[in-house]
Amino acid sequence: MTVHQDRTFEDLRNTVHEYCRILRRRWRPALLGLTLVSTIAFWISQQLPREYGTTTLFERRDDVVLRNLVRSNSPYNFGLHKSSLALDMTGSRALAEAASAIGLVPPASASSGEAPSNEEMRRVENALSKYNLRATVRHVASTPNLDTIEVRCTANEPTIASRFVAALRDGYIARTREQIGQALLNSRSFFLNEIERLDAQIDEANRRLREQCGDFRGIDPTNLSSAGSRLEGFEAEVERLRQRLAELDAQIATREKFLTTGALGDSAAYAEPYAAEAPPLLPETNSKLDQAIHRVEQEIADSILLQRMTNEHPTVKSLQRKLDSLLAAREAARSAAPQAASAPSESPPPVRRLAQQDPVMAGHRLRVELELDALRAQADVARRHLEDAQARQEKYAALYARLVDAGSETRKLEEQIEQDKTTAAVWRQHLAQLERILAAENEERGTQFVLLEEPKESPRAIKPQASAVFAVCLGCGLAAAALLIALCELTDRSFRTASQVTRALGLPILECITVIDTPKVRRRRMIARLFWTPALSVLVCVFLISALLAYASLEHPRLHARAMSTLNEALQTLGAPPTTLINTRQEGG
Amino acid sequence: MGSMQKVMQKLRAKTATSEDVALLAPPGDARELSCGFAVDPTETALSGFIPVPPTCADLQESPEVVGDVGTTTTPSPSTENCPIDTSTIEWDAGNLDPSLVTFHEKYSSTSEQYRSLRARLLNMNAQRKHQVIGITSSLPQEGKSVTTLNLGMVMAEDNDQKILLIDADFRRASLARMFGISPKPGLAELIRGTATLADVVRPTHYPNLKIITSGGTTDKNYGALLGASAVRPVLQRARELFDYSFVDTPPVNTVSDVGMLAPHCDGVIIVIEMRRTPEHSVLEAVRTLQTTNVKILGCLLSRYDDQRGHYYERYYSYYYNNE
Repeated sequence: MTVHQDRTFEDLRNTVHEYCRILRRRWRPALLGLTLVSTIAFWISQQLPREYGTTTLFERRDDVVLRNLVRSNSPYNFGLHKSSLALDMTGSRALAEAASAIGLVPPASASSGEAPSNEEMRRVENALSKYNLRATVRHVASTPNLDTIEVRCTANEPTIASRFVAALRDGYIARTREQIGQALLNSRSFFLNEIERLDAQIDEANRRLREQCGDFRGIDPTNLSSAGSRLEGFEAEVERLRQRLAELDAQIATREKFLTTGALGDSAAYAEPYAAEAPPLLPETNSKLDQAIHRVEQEIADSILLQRMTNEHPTVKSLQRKLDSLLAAREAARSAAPQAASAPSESPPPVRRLAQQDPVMAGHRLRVELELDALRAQADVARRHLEDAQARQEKYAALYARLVDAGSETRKLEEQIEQDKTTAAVWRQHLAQLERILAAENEERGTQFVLLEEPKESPRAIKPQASAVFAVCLGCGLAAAALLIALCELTDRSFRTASQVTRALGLPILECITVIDTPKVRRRRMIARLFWTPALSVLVCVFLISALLAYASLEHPRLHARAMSTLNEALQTLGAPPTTLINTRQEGG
Repeated sequence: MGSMQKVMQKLRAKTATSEDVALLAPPGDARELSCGFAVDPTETALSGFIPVPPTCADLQESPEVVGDVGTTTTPSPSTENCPIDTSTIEWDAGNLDPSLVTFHEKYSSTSEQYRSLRARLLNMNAQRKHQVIGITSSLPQEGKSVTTLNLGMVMAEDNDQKILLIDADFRRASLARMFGISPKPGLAELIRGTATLADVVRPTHYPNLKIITSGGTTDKNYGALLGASAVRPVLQRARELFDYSFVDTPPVNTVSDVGMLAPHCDGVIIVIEMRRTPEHSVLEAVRTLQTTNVKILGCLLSRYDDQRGHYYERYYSYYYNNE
């Protein structure tokens, strides 16, 4: 064989090759150290205290109505709760309540709603430290209206961890709902009071408005134009009645003239006496017409100036027409008055004379007398109606004038009523929504919380982690193997490489003869194998079993407990004392 | 000269026997040496020695071996019979030690390693200064005898070389044991003068490989036997009759025999068993040998465990299989 120069640690390839050669040479002690130390480490790892974790997930959403309600009327709001979530869930009070809820501390000690005392907190801390309980809370997702909250709890007992995290969550939900309910109730009473106050204000304003109209039923004090229209109606009625009365008076006068003159001739004979005997226009009629004209002019002026009506407005037009007719009537009355004044005052009644002479005439006379009586009766009625209508007209005119005078106050009252009604409507709407939320909050969990994930009691320990345990155990084994190899190499004073011989002796290496595979060598090798193979196999088996048990103790504790009980039974059957290498806490869990 | 070179090349190629050489060599062209070896008078350096078996006359002409071994008077070795002939014996592979790998597995990589050792020795010894080479080690069981035998056999593969293996380890008599033969008569008888060289030189499977076993001893005074003055003439005679003589010696650190035997050798090869022999032990052995003014030719590392050997073995097997 060719003799190689010693460049073991000068070249990386030679270095690696040298290490591989050493490993090939010393694989038995290396495997021995690896398996022994790793096995011990795996058994020790089963004694390490376990830590179990549980997580629950829930959503808390903020109702828009609720947010608007409580933001303006209560110190409570969603943002405040968002920022104080950690304190609310993992604060001393929350921990004390949760510990009390799952029975870690006496229930009476933490049942009160106030902050726990120092003694109670000491008791709670002792209980928490006994089970190594730790709780953390975080926002998985956070939006202005929706929070996804994760509560995580770790303990050395999986059951305790899951119960504690559920108690923390339920306590937080209960407290928050209580706060929400309190805020809602406060808002509700506020809204009710406000609505009541506004209703009273509206009633008072309405009463004051009604007072302006007095006895005039059906009159809307806020609607001045309708009152004016009604006044116009009354005035038109008065005018109509007056004209009717004038017509009746004229007919009465005609018949009276007929009865007086008894004219049966031509129409001229009738017309002349009739015209002569037509009653003259009375001075009081003129004054009334003047008053009516004056009143209508006043109304027109009010409509245009106060009520801001134009000339095209129907009310103004009707008033204008009425004014025109009144003016025409006054003109007619004034033109008729001189004629009446110039007519003869004394003349014999022609009709009576004719009736005495002619029976037909007498029949006519009788008929005219009857008609005259009827007309007089009608004129009396019309006169009474006219008087009533004039009285009403005057009252309405007074009311109208009062309404016009109180226009600004009416408008103020009207605006106040409108504003109060709007506010009350808004409060009523809020109250309805609030009632809906309150009704929903009385259900199981209300609308604010949605449970996404219940805490699960996981038997798998989160600490120590299997990967870390395996890394540490195998690392210890590898370190032991490396140490053993190093010890073997250090204590071995024999030559291992040709370069060592050259360095030590300064002699040339003639040749390197490999191992001659003789039966003796084979026998020696076989004997070595007979010893080493079972020994190393047993070691490797123990190592693998230990690793499996360590893995099972972390990932499948129940399986591990069963395996250990089986192992104990087997040991007892063999007469050996049962192994104590079982995690008692884990068994308890 | 050219015709002679061709003849010699043909002779090497055919691995010709001495009889062939005798037939081919014309009388007068080849000069008979006193030791019985024929040599080309013109191209000595080229052709080297042509193996011609020593005759009885050669042995009779050898210088007399005289001297005392302690108080014992050792008669001079008898030279009546011709000890070295070309006869061979068939070896029974079953009786031979399995470690004779150059015989059992002639074309294995281990055999090739011994051939490599042979080539290195021949290169180192081009001037033939070292004809008697002792093979020793610092501790027992390091592979001296195995190395001696395998090296002798690969040296004997070249028929030009006459090889003698001498077992000088009286305590173990390893060569006889490995060949499955009786150690007597051997070196002890030769030194004492109770046997002639022809008596103790044993034939082997190879015509040019001879063995002298350790012989039998009645007492445990091996050091006195090796320290006798008769040892030097024996080795001198071997130096004359054979091209190379390999002496299997006892371990240096265990017994003091080597201190008396080694000065008669031209050089010593130290066998070191890897991963077993301590460094200080080898250093002590080297120091012991250096105090006896013996030339240490080099070291032979036995049981060398290197994966590169297996790596080369794969190519070696591939090469031989294809061949």
